[in-house]
Amino acid sequence: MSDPDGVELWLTDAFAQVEAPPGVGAGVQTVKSHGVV
Amino acid sequence: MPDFEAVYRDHADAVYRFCLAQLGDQPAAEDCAADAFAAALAAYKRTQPTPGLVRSWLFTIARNTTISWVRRERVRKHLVERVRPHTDDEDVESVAELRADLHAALGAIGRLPKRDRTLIGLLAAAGLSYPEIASVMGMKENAARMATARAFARIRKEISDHE
Repeated sequence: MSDPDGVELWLTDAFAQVEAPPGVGAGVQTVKSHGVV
Repeated sequence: MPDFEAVYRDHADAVYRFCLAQLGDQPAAEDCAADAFAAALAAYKRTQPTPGLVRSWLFTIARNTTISWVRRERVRKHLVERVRPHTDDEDVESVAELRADLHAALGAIGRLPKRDRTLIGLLAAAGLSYPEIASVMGMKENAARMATARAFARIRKEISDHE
């Protein structure tokens, strides 16, 4: 899709402002606290 | 090899967006993205992805995590429905705070076949390039471009059918 049309732009814009909530980092913290890394 | 904290910081939003596009539900996407990062961290030192390949490596893990998540959810919902009547209350609550355009986008993506959902999630939600999408999907770049174009053709039809 080198020439994005309206639907691709609409979908891209719909997700563009979505930020990961803090809980996404919980998995990393859990692994670290269990001493896996 | 960059510190994993930097990998998380640079890609947390994109991985969450991809999970949201696959699952259509914010709490599930949050948990699934957390699982994906936990799996990535556990494998990071062993696999040592180079900086140029870290996104395709990470999204391969994210894709596999969403596939496992959907399978687990299907089993869980089947078991839950056997012991209590189905209610949409939780689903309504989970989408209540979504912006209207994002809600509409998730609805349209959710009606697509799984592979189309994945391709559109990787391109439009996560912002991967075609070479990266090809790597995640295990196909050649040209095939990834054609498959993604077909996925967009299907979502265009899906949207026009619902207008």
